[in-house]
Amino acid sequence: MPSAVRLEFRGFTFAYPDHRGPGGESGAGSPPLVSQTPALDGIDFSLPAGRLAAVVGPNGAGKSTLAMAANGTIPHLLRGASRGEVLINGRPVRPPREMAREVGVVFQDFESHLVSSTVELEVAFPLENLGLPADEQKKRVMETLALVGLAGFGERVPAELSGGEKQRLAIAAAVALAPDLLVLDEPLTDLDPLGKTQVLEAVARLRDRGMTIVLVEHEPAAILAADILLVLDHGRLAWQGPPAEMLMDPGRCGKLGVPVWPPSHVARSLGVTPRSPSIEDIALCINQSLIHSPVQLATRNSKLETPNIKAGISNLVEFRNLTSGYPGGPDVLHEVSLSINAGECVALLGQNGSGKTTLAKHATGLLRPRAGAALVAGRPVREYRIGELSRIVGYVFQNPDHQIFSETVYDEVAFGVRNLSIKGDEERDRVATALAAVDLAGREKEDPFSLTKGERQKLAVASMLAYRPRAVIFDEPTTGLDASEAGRMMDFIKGLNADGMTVILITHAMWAAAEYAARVVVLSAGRIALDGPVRDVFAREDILAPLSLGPPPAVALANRLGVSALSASELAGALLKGAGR
Amino acid sequence: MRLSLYRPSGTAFHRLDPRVKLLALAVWCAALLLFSDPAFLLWPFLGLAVIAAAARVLKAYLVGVFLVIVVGGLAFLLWPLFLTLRGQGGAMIWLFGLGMGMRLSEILLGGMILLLTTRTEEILAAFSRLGMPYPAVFSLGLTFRLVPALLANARNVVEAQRLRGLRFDEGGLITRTRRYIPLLVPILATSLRSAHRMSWALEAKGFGSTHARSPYLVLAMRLIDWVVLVISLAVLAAAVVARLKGVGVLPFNQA
Repeated sequence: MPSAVRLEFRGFTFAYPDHRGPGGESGAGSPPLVSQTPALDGIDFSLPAGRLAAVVGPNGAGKSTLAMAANGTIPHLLRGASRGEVLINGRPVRPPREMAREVGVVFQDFESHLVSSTVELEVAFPLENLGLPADEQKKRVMETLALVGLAGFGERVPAELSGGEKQRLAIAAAVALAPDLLVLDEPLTDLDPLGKTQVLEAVARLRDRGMTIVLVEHEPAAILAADILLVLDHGRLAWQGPPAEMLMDPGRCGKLGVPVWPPSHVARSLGVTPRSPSIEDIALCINQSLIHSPVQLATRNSKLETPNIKAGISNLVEFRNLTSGYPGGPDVLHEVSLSINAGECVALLGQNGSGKTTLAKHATGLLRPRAGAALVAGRPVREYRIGELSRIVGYVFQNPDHQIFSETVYDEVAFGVRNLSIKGDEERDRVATALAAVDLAGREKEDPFSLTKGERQKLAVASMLAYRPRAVIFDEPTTGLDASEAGRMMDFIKGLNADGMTVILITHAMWAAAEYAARVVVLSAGRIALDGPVRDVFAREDILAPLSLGPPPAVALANRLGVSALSASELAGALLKGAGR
Repeated sequence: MRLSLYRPSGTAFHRLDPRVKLLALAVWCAALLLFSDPAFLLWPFLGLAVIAAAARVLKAYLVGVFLVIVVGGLAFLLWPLFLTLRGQGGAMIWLFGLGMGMRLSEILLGGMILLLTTRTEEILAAFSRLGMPYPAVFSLGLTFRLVPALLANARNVVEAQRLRGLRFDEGGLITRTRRYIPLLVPILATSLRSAHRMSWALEAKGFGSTHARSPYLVLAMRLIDWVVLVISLAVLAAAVVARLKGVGVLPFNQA
């Protein structure tokens, strides 16, 4: 018997009320002023029961809109112009509250949707709403928590869980009613590597139990885990098929805005065709092809790079035996000593809670150490006024929406400059230079709230650059960006560094650290676990693995092949040279 | 970021029916208001400490004692002032002020022990069972839930704007008020956005469906709940009797 179709989109088209995206303030009863370009345009696909579909595409392609259409949030709660149909189990989708038994959803920004004071009550919430008997509720809560790997967490307080645990709790609440379909909108964003692995494991267990899953995600690991890949582009379904087929074709990935799978890039460059896109298969295939070429081993060691230290003040930012924590809490950092020279590009890696952000904030004066000291340009941070420090060390926060408030792009950037009592020509000059640096020149009069997420991120960067600092701390600069936006952001940061700016990069994106940083510092439980040139650090899988910090795919492949390389193109180059081709 | 005082641990006190705990708290307040002698009012502090120790929240309780000394101290200073204004005098008004401060502290501490040992949802369930309509109970609960999220959000905004040179300590009233705009706009914009998404998430979990809601927390009076209820009422009765016999009352006419 062919498996039943769980979810079906039939020519589904949806346009938001004008100027409002999925995160906008539009709600039920909005005026029928409809945007010219539909967010989804004639989407046709059907998803058989028990399959895991990954939905990918650049930001703005319509992924979140698709997720919201799958449980009726669109068009029943968020109204706009819609055509076509969405069917669940063969029946048109009804308002979400009537769909709760059939579809579970975890939207983006899930943290603020955790509404209960304990884990078990969070999972019980949908069961209460549908009036299940109390003993049945107890049973389901326990079963569901076990399924997502949170058995024994029932009495815990959601706010005190780690990011990965919170996401699995949100998933547990969405599947407590045992729906046929689960929709997850970017569940891995913002999680540390360990959290990502655990969430994907929970998703795999749910699929194994027969649940049909729609997973909107940028991460290659999520695409690899899927049975079916749906690629969206400008609201259209640009491609659908087996994920492996897409991942093994880097050229097509690039064209369709699908994140390129670096190991496939290496395989393609060498002209080999592996059985599957898994790193093991690609390594095996490359090794077999290299056996036939005589010069392989001689060049399997490339030189080690030393950190890129430019002339200038050494020790621009220094931490000396720094111990610190948040008020009323335990120590988060334990006697950390680290000095960063002018002109360096340093990545801080580590799981959430390892102390990366806490450490970096000491260089801005936002936090004061309990013991030890933080020094900027040789002077203890406590001797600076906070405004003065911004002229030396800038900090770009993860979420630009926590700082944007002005009516125009110009005023947003000028705000900080004016706080330095800089006015007139110099103000205009600084704003213009900063906006030009982030590619927002000519947009001065626009409303910052109408910019895309990537543009708002750039605006926050420009606001900080207008101070003309000597060092910049970037806190997760690629979070929430799609593959090409993230690549452009990292290229921009690299450009700043090349112009002499000292860069401190706090990130979970291992590829960003490997390809862009010269030096990597790994923090674990408030202590420095590794500090050295990027090549040395990523070669130490023995230390990284217990910290759940795997190297990025290209480096993992290189390590397997016994070659030192930090990116797919470097690896391909080294192998081609080694093979004498 | 957490606001809830609740400390999970499965002591007998934690497991008491929240309705009984609410009633015991009411009895506690009523009984305390009967007495005014500071020497007598030392005993309830001890009683509270015993309950806190039994509920394994003694440490949090001692922190609370420290905090309410401020509140109690304020009452200690203010009450004599009012009494003096009303023509009373002498050392007795200071004793009365001290007693008033102690009573207020003990009422607050009683409430604190309730919050330390009872989940928000249990208190809400108790209100619900005592007749409060569900929409009101849910709104009250939502307020508790949103405050920590709002505060965490606000803290991020304050950090970001401080680094951009936002200062609050300069200029006149209007300038200072204007300085809050860079804080208020991002806080409101992000909160509104997340409130919208939250409403969708609630609906996706069947909130507002036509089914009759059935609570996860089933409140059922067990033997121990009845025992505590009876003890509470006995304490109240004993307090009334003691008061009528003149125990624990200052020889002082308030009127």
